[in-house]
This record gives sequence, C-alpha cells and structure tokens, in this order.
Amino acid sequence: MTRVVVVTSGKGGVGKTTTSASFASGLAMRGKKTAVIDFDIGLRNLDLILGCERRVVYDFINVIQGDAKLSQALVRDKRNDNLSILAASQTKDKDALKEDGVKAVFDELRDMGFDYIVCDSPAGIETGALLALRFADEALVVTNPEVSAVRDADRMLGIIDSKSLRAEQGLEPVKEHLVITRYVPKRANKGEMLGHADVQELLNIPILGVIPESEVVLECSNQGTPVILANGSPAARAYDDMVARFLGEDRPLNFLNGESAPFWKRLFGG
Amino acid sequence: MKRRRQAVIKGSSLPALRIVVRDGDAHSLRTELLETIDNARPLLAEAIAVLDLRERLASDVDAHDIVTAVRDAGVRLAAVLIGDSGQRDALAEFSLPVIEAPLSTRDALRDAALGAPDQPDPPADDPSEDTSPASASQRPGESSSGPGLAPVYLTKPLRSGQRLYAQGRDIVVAAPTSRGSELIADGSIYAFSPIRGRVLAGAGGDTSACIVATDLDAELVAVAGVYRTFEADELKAHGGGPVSVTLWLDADGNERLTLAALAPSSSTQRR
Repeated sequence: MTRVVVVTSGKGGVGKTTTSASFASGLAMRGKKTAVIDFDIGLRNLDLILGCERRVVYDFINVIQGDAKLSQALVRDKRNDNLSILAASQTKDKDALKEDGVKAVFDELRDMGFDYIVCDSPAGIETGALLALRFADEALVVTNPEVSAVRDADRMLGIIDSKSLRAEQGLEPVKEHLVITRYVPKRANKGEMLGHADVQELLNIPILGVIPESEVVLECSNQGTPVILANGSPAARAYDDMVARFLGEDRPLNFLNGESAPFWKRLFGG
Repeated sequence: MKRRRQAVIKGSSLPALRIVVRDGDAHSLRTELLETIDNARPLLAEAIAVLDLRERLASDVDAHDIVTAVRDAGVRLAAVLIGDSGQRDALAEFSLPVIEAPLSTRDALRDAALGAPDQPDPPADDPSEDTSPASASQRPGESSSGPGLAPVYLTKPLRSGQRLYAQGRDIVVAAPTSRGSELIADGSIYAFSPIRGRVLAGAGGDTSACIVATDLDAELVAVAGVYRTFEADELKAHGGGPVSVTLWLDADGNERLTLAALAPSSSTQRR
C-alpha cells in the first residue's frame, strides 16, 4: 500500500529539500519504489539537489493540467531505478496547483505500485504547503535548533492536525516525526543553540533523526548528489539512520555528543 | 469532492478592548479620557474597540458627548455597551450598535463595598454570572464553583496559532501548549502540563476566575481582561514551581493580578 509522506517545516531554509532528497534516496536504496514530488511551484529546487535538472521535460503542473502524461513527466533517478522525481514547474503560477489535480496524480502513482510518495513542501503556510500535506499519511517536520524555526514547525504541526484529509475525516491522525537539521552538538552543549531534547520537549513529537551541521551538505547540493550518498560523512550516516528508523529499525541517536565533551566526562556524567 | 458553501453564518467571540468610562467629575472627564486613549493608541489601532458606559450612571455628562469625544480622538468604535436602556436615546444618532449588558451582581456588590454610588439592581437572571449570595461574599481569587458544565479537557498539544476557547466553562490542561497558542476560558484554567502561550481565564468577565498551573511559562496571562506579560525567565524567578494567578483588588480598588506559588518548591531544577 502506498504511503504519502510530507516533508515540511513552515520556515524556509531549514533543509526540507535536502531532507526530501536524502529521505527519498534512502527509501529507494532500501528497495522501496519511491516517487518524490516538488510542491514548490515557481521555485523548483529538488531536481537540482538530485542532479536531474537537465532531464526534466515535463513537470507536475503539466501533468495536472493534462499537457503531459505522468509517465512522461516522472524522471527516473540515474543512480537508483527505484526512485522517480516529479519536478515543480518553474514558469507556471502557483495557483495552477489544485487539490483534485494533486489527488489524481497520487491515485495514478498508487496504481503504478509506488511504495512511497514523498512530498517536498514549500516554505510558508499557503496553498502549496497545504496541498503538500493534504493527503499525507506521515509527516517529517524539519526544524533547526533555533527558536523561530521551532515555532514555525509547531504552527505546521497544528495545521497538519487540522487541515490534513486524515484530520478532516477523523481518521487515524497523520504520524508525525521530528527531524532536526544543522545540529552542532558542541554549541548545543554550551547552550548556544537549543538542544535536541529542548526541541523535542517544545514540539512534543518523537525524534526521527538529528542531522549534524556539515560542509558536505553544500558540496552535495552543488554537485546534485543527495547527502545520504556522501560516504563516510556524519550527515550521510545520520540520514541513513533516519531512513532506517523510519522503516522500523531501532538505531541509537548518533552525533549528539560534540568533541567538547571528552570521553571520560561522558563516562562519569560530568 | 463535496462543495463548500461560500457563505455561512458562524458564532464567534472576538477579543475586543473596552474603553471603560466610570462615574466621576464631569469636568476632568474629557482630559482623562483623551489621556487614556493616547496611552493605549498602539493597542487601539489594531484591536476592536468597544465603549463601555455601564459604570457611568451620572447624568451630568451624557453618553452622546462621550462617544463624540472618543470618536474625535480617532478611535474607531465597534459598539457601545450600556447598563440600562435610558442611555439608548442619547446614542440614537450614531450608527453604532448599542448593546445592553447590565453589570453582574458581583460587580455591583463589589462596587458598593468600595463606596461607589448606588446602582440599580441588575436582573437576577443574568445567565453568564454566578449570582448566588455565597459567591458575592467571597474574596476575588477564591474561585467559586463553575457554571455547572464539565470542563474542557485538553489532551492534545495546543500548537502555535491554535486557539482553544471554552465558552462558559473551565479548562483542564493535560497536554503542553506552545508559544503563540491561546487558551481562553470563561471560567478558570487548571494546567498540569507546561503553558507556553497565552492563557486567559474569566474571558466573559468573571473576576473570580483563576489560573492554576504546575509549569507556567506563559507569554501572557489574563483574568477577566486584566492582563500581564512576562519577559524571558521572569517566571523562572518565581521558582518555576506550581503557580496560581488570581485577580485581587488592591487598597485603591484597582484590579491587580497576583502570582503566588501554590506550594513552596524545594528545587528549581525540574526536568
């Protein structure tokens, strides 16, 4: 059965698209047939992050408006056959996104046997973001360890609880997961940024992953490679852990202890 | 997909600022009124303003002049509240809704105790207020029994941007509320989870309403329209333990919010 997962945040620039790309790639690497859709109409980015921008011919809006078939618009990832990308339109107005159109595309993806539909939400709480979460079964709420991002994430959780189809129809609520990105353990330990436990206490949903701040993220974006494929980097391993946890594996939260806390100090609870 | 109706009528209870005009010296009224309005200008620019004439019963300055003065001061009034229908005629020429809403018995008794001029007895069947003699003898702050309805029980986190309003009821809070959320009750609010947003008790004007919280980290608290805000960590200075917020009358008859520890907390470290 197809599961729809929205990657959302409220605030911009916290790492939704980076997380969507790595999450979708991670699912595909684990054999799940996955489609990842860019809902940021007019500001398409996901295709760049996944390095397939040159192969985009038709986009999401073309499919919704009937100018192209879904099979023509889906771009197969060149690294993994299980992953397909549906790019956002760069030219169309964002009003072109309509609920029944989105539903029709999702229904077709279900018929095509996809295991997961990953919706990369735009920032804000307007039409694009609302439609990205509308049909969600699960939500990855991405935030930085910073108060404004946390507040926006909180707002977004409220919207998921009221505006999703599951909420409106009184079905089992959308399963919400917390993803903290750009985490610097050293600074969190010093109290310069919110600790992961503080963020979790404020938002009151379970943590799916804590992704450490890493230079690799920028390099990967520029190269069009999902971070999860950057072998050996802590950010890549954190994303890999995140995907594993999402699929039910029990993995401890890594990368939470900065170099500032020496081994003996941790040992003796200093 | 089912089509939504484009026009519907819904009930609502919007927050509004009341400009309360009390009895007193008619000569200084205009000056005091303009001073009050000037002080509150940023607030008045953004909120709905209602003129409350229910405590103004002296006949030497009539309602007409007051409304004119308030309007001349640049306040856009949404309505006028009056205590008895006698003032209605004076307001007929303004195209303003005039709402007759007598002060409650409790308010009348309290004012009498403070030496306020005699007021006509309000009708005893005012449904929004507890008019039993027992409650009138209570000090404000000792919460009277609720209006008889079961409290609203909050079990899911109240998120930023969400509002819970319990009309004519208390709220029992069993899930955390976030910064930017609003918890509003006509009755009292009892919180067993962290309160981080705004929390307003006695929204319908019940001055005996109170807020009791095991972990109060609110942005704003209010009882019966009297509010205060908090700077970061100001509440932590109270010891961070269980707190009750109640409304008291000080010696001058002004309403003040009082924060008091429910129980002496032995430790400020609670996590």
